[in-house]
Amino acid sequence: MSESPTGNTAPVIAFDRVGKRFGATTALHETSLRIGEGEFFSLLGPSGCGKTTSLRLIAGFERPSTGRVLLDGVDVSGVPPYRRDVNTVFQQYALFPHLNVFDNVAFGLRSRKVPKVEVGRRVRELLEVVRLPDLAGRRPAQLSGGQQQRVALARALVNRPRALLLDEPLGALDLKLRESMQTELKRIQQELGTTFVYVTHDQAEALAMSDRIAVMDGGRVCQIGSPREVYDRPANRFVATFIGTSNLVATDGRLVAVRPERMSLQPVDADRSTGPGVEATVTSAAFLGAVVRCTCVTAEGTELLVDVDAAADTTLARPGGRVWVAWQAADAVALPHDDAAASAADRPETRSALGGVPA
Amino acid sequence: MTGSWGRRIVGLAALGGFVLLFAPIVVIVAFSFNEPAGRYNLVWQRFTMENWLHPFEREELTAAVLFSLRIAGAASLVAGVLGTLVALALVRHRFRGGALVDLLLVLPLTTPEIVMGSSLALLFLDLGVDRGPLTILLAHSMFCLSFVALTVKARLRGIDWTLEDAAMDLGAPPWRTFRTVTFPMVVPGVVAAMLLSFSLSMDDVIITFFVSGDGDANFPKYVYGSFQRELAPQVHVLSTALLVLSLGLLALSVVWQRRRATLSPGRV
Repeated sequence: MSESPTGNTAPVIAFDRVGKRFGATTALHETSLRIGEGEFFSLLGPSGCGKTTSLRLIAGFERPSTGRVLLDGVDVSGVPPYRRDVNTVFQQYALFPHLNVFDNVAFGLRSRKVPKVEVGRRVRELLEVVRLPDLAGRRPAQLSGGQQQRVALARALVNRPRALLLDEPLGALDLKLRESMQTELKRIQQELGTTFVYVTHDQAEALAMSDRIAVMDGGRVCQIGSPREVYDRPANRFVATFIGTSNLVATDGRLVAVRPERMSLQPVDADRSTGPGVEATVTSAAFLGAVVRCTCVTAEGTELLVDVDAAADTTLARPGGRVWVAWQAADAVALPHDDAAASAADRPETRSALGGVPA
Repeated sequence: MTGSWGRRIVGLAALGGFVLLFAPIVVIVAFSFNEPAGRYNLVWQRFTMENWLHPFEREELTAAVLFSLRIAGAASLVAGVLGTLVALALVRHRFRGGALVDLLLVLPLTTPEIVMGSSLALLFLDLGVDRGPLTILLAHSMFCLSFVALTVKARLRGIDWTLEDAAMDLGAPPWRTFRTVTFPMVVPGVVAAMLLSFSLSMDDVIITFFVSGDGDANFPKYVYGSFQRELAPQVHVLSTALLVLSLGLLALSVVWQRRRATLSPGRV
């Protein structure tokens, strides 16, 4: 196991067989997970996968239908949001339009009857952290999207919560700003050492920022692991295709996933005894800068994507050519066959990984 | 060119329409500056400021205006509070019969006033309630309530309710959330609706006729009644003043809405 469990450190947040139904629909199937102190933990999946429901269960906006939500080991399943020591950064920021930046950030402290002098000091301190010290008097409508985002962060973090919950916080920003905010979020998290629970549908974002990722689909957790683990060792077909690009190949009655960059093009008469491979025809080749991405089709009609290093020999990466597509057995990840219902979390070998927290 | 002829006709028609709409108002404003000969201020004599310098000459008229202002103030207050609560209930909570309440709210506004007035009069007679200021207030509050509930409801639909979640997330219990977040968001819409309710109540004649006692007259009812005996220029003066007042209220409610619009956060 590549994860090193912290052993005696109690998790900040834990789901103990938590399930959530809305009427006839199940938003979250029974899920158990543990999020450790200071961890950057992402809930990653497509819309409707249960990630936002999970976050709302932690925040207290939803009550679990089954199971228990624990904060610092205490069952908070029935505790309302205003008595939970966690704070949320909302998708559209939800800044109070009638209050200026200072009063927005001070809102939580004033709710908790923090003395006036301390309110002023802590608000200014947090505005420094998010690098907006001069905008305290502005109204939210007078701020850019990126500035609103920072105010939302400061407003949540000023309360020094046990965990900060972020619901697709970068979704409303344009690409450039999103990338710089990713770095910024990571900096703030490390500076304050706060536990972050980050909901996103953007796999690149999750890979770049997280200590661990819970990949979700259809109200279930498919896999929990470090970015490296979920990328290199996807637990099932969904994880293999949702995170990055995977070629799914059936060989020897097994279904395996191989990344395009782990496949290579070789001459059709190459030595086939060195490892697994399949004969195919190159149908198209796209120059992407660092690599040339080739689309190949096998005799059975399976489409394979192969990345060829653009700096190396690309003579085989030409449409129409017959090639031998090869890979190393070690780079092929075996996937369970009945993917539809079986999630990796149900299998014993991954279940034990659920409790793991990186050191 | 047929095009330019067409445009001229449309232009003339529009002009005619405007004359039809605004001539009565122009007449009233103009005749407030007339020095009448006799008891009826109907024929233009000469310009004077006399009427405007003595607007409260007719005590009965002044009393009627004050009566109207009091009723309108009270009715818009009652309707403002109750209507807002109805709107909040309809927008924020799903409950059995919600759709029915929606329908019932529209009824007082679509029912002909004569029907509304006569059935209210019958109701009060049946119940043995003496018709007077109280019954007028009840009737006015009723149609104003519908109006407030419907307009506030429309406003509430545009509000970002995540803000309530945000307040609770930041440790504010329900009452503090309402006081510091919900109420400030809702209040501009409520004020606008109350200002319009006020003018609705000010100029109501038909329903007031049916539900008022013999002694009490609001402004419109007094004006109508006074036609029998005289038409004092003070009627024109106070009508003009009320016109300016309601235009002012309208402008105020527009300003309120603008204010609300600039307060909503910009989306990126």
